[in-house]
Amino acid sequence: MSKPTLATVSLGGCEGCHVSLLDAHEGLLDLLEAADLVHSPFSGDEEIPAHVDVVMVEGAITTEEDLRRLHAARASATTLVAVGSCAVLGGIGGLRNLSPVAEVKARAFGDHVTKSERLPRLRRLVQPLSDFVEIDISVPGCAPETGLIVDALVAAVSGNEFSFGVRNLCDECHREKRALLEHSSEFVSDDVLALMELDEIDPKRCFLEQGLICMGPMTREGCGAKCTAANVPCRGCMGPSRLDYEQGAKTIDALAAVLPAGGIMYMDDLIGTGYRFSMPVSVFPGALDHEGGDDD
Amino acid sequence: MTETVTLPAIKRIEGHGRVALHLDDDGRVADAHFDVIEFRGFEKMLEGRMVWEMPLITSRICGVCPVSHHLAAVKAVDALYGVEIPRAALLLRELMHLGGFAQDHALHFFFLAGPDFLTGGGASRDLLGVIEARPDLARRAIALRRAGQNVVEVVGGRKSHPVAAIPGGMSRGIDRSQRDELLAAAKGMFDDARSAADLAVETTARLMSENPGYASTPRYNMAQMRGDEFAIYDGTIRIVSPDGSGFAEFDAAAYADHLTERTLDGSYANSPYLTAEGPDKGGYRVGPLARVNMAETMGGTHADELLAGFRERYGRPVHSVLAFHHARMIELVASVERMIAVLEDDEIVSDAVRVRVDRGIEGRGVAAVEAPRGTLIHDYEVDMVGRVTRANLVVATTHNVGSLDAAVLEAVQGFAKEDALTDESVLRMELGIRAHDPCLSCATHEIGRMPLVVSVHNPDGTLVAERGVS
Ligand code: SF4
Ligand code: SF4
Ligand code: SF4
Repeated sequence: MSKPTLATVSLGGCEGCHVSLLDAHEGLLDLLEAADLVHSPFSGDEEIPAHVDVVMVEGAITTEEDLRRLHAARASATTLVAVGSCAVLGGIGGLRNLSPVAEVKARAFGDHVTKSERLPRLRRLVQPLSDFVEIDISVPGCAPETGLIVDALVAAVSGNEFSFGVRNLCDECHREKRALLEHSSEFVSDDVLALMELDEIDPKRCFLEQGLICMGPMTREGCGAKCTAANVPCRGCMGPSRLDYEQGAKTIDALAAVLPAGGIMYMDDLIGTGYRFSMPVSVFPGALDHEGGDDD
Repeated sequence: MTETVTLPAIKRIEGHGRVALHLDDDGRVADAHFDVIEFRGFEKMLEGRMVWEMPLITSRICGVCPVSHHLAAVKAVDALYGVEIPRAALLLRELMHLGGFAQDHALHFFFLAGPDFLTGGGASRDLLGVIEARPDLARRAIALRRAGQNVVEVVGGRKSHPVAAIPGGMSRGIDRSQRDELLAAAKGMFDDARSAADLAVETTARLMSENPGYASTPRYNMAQMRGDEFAIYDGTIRIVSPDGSGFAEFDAAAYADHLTERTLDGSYANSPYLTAEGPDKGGYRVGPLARVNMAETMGGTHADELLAGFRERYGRPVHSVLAFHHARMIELVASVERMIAVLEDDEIVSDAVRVRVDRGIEGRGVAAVEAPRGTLIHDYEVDMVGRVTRANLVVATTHNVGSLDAAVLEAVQGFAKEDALTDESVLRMELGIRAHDPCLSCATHEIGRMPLVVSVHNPDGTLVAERGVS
């Protein structure tokens, strides 16, 4: 029997998901033993072949060209694996949905915003792949841990199911948490602080109890709680633990019992923190932009 | 003239590197541009965010060198609030940067540019070709990358998009056992780095003799240096003239007084030039070649020997872009040597890794680091609460846009359109482009191979021919 075929495609992202796959190091050689890599940013022809067993897609849909390449990938793939929060949730690039395209371009290019028609046309909104095609396997994270990507691709190549935990990050986090579990009539802190403003960063206590916004309660497990272990609060890159709730709205919901809501609003950036990786799947898209895409 | 020739090889390959050639009235190639077709609009997205989140957000601009953005951003916030970070934090940040730098250089030399010169004629010109034809080199590259990424993860908390550099220092330090483990690994990298450098000496010489005189127009060189020493984390920005004499030296905060960013119709990248020299004469080059040209010392014994050998062979300053490959591997050795020195400094295990930083200043913070591909500048303006009101980022590849254009033009200048589109011509253009290692995320969006679409335009801009080559 011939080996299954594998392709990887990169759309509107940063290549970080591909680098995370490269970080499998020798494991990459094993993956290349198990499957024939027929097309990727590292090798193969320009266009994806007509039929490929497993296609991994990194990045969100940001231009018309991304969309064309996504449809080609879907048409080719038996199993389509969306890798990274850009592909699954729209990701960090989705923060551009807060402004009309014209303003985004004006900020980068000044008054000189006319661009050749030969450049790919920017779409009005950054969107996740699932807005356009059916996804067989989703691996969130920015970037997802190398092991998660490899496990998903191995499962896809061998035709197995792939799944991982859907509890929230606090479950993986080693920090002692009391405020989240106990009822209290007091806020844990008068202010909402930035990490740099703490006298001491307590390496053992839950960040919420230190007066910081931590996205742990609103974020899916699976990264190994790397950031909180490194003494930095979670910023939610794995996306919500269940797609039926809004990651940012849930932030207020979960934190208002612990931190003063006014502080959250004034001292911090609720939208940019709460929706950092999931703006395109929130209620916000389009709310601020009625102008259409690039040249409309 | 509206003649349109579409060559049979053309395919629609938007996601790839793109080159536009412009003909003069006689139908000869007179101008060339390497165009960037990706645009994510980060500068606008950063407005309204809290400035201390910049190190965590901007790393997502580039998955290939996230550490550079993480550090340029955190340094800009330190500058904004006027904080001096403890020496241990300085060492840790530099160490993280060196880890990312070394893995990136190894990735480029073996897997991205390597296919141009490491594999024989028959092998496919991509990463798989290297793995198949030279498994020994692939293992070396993997070992270097693994060790470099491990440094990033241990010091930075994560290997993709690290988190531990915070305004005022580091969120936490490393302990003795982590130091010992990293030191052993860094010493292990040394042999691999040295043999990569030996290979680079030989292959660069071969490439240069096969392509005599190719892409070697004198340009200005720019890099941030620590005095006369190669340094990737801090220092002042220096510019030297095409003849090697000093031209300017300034703190990163003054970059806007010296550089002007010009926007281009056909590209989503801006192209900066030296303001004092104007757009035509003020083109400059950044990255390994610029740094190695400018350094009196690489900061390590073996790297300094390599530097002396480089000078002896090619003189100073070197303008041939093919020498980028050689320069890059001198830097790989230098960064491993520096990594060892930093890890042998006992202060690296100190607990005093941060000072508290308070918000409450309205103002501006600017800082630069040397990213693997060259000088990276982050510039933020913030309000009293710490919200970003304006952001400007000058990434390494944009500094090199002019140098990339020149390399492409030299490959085909004066050619008629048919000759400009032959396999041989396209290969020559590619060679020059790849030597620069244009940032794959912000420029070509392809890792490791760079199929090009080359288009040819009349003086009035109309498209007359186009072909894609994989
Ligand atoms: S999910 Fe993160 S790492 Fe992956 S492409 Fe998007 S920004 Fe890059
Ligand atoms: S809120 Fe953050 S720090 Fe607290 S337990 Fe959850 S993940 Fe850990
Ligand atoms: S702790 Fe949060 S931000 Fe950090 S990797 Fe995990 S999910 Fe992402």
